[in-house]
Amino acid sequence: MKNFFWKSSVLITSMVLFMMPPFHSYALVPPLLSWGGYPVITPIPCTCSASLWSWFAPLYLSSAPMTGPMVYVPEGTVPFPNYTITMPGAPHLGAYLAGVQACWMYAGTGCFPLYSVGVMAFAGVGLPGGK
Amino acid sequence: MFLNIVLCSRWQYVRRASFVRVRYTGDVNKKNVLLWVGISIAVVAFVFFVFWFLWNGLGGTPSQNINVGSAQNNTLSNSKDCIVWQFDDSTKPCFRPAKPTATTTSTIITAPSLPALVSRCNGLSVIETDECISTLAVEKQSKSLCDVLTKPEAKKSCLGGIVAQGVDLVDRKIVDTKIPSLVPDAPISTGNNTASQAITTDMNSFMQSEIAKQVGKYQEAVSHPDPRYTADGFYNRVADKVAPSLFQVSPYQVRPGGVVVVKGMGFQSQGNTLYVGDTASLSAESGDGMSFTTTIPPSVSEGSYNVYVKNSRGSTLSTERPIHIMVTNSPKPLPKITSVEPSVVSPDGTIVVRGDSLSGLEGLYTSVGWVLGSSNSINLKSLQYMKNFTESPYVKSGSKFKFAVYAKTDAGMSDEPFFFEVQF
Repeated sequence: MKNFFWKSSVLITSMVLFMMPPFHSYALVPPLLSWGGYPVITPIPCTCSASLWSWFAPLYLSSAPMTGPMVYVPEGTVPFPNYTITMPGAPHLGAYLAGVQACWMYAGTGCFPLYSVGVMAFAGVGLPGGK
Repeated sequence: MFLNIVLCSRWQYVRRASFVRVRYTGDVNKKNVLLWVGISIAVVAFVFFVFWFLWNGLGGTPSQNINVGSAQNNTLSNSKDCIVWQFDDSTKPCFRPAKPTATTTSTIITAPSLPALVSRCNGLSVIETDECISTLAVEKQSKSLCDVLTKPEAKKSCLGGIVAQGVDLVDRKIVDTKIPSLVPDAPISTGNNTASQAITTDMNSFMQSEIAKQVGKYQEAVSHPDPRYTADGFYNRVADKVAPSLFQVSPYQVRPGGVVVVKGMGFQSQGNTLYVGDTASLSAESGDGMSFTTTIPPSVSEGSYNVYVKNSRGSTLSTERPIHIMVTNSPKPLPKITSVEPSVVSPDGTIVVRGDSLSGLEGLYTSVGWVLGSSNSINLKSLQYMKNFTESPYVKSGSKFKFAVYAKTDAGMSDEPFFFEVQF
């Protein structure tokens, strides 16, 4: 019984400690906005800008789902675990800069923007098929 | 029997007449009972915490801040239901609060008109009507409803209830649970930031006075102290750490001495020089590392030129992917797409592009590839990246994706994309 008592005490203490995590939160200040979604295609490499263009469906820029392309810039986007940004089927969550065209393709005489909703400023990735 | 199996052997259940009850027949050990009570409370608290944690996200409830957007240019059909427009650009979506709070409930967003609300309180006595309207006003956070009340005491009480609970949302321009800055000159320091401009210039006096009344309830958004997680952090990364790349100089046709916008990456805050052939333009600043504006040297004579950018980290001069501009005294207008037919098309269908100044068409550039030539029609099946969509197991049958298309003529590429839908 004494052993059980100690085990229970450790369990309760662990739960209480878990409920007091040292997290800090900060507001996302525009022009950074939150986004999330699932890529549905193999990402397209942007030949002028060395970035990756991927289509997300659904794409959450608010609580209303939509679809659209986002751009991952290895030099600029901060990746978070699992680091597999633009992997099809994997849930993504992060912040983006709306309207910034960061995927440019070379086509004959110059580059043109492969239109995107915005560019990822940072993104975390779950496991494929995850929620 | 079932209960006997499930419960400890010291417990019994006794069936009497029309009810079932459980009886403890063993010795009472107070220590054990207290322990079980403690564990139960801890487990319940833990489960409650987990649900609370999942609901509120990392770090608990976000601080409430107010965002004011611009509704004027929003073209969505249900624009009246939008409460935050982050940008003045009409192509941007309508934003709604991700997690409704006391001040951002859906009842506020979809609140009926003022007369409709007032009519709910008709047919009651004067006192009952006042109370009914006050209740509605607080529920809907509508200051205008309080104005319907004639008695000063009732009006004061009504307004007090609203101020106690939040900000009046009658003009539907407000709210988000996260974001922004409450006053002009707030610390949003990113170059050409249309978002911050929209927020600061659209902040009306009513909002400012309401916020001033509620010190402590609404807080100014604080950017992350780690600069990596700010917009400036992104721009700094693409500006300061990479060699310059040049994507486009717009417009393509420009007069000597004319102004051009140079787009690329890796532009430094100062000291970016555009070379037109061998002639250098004035050194220019870049606020975001991805663009700068400069003037074509007036001494440059008419003709087609290879252009490149130089700064202290390198040059974009490339023989593999040269970027050209045309210097001319009579520049043509840029093409502009005005329609795509049909507006919804299957992935193996054909679209026809129409618009202004499309003579001299050199190519059509869509989200899924491009076609060079003078034809104004595209068979989508022939586009380079359409297979990425049609062969993807994640693209569901029946889903509609909105793709962009640009037109390029000898005068340059259209400024704005035109959108058409592809139904898979």
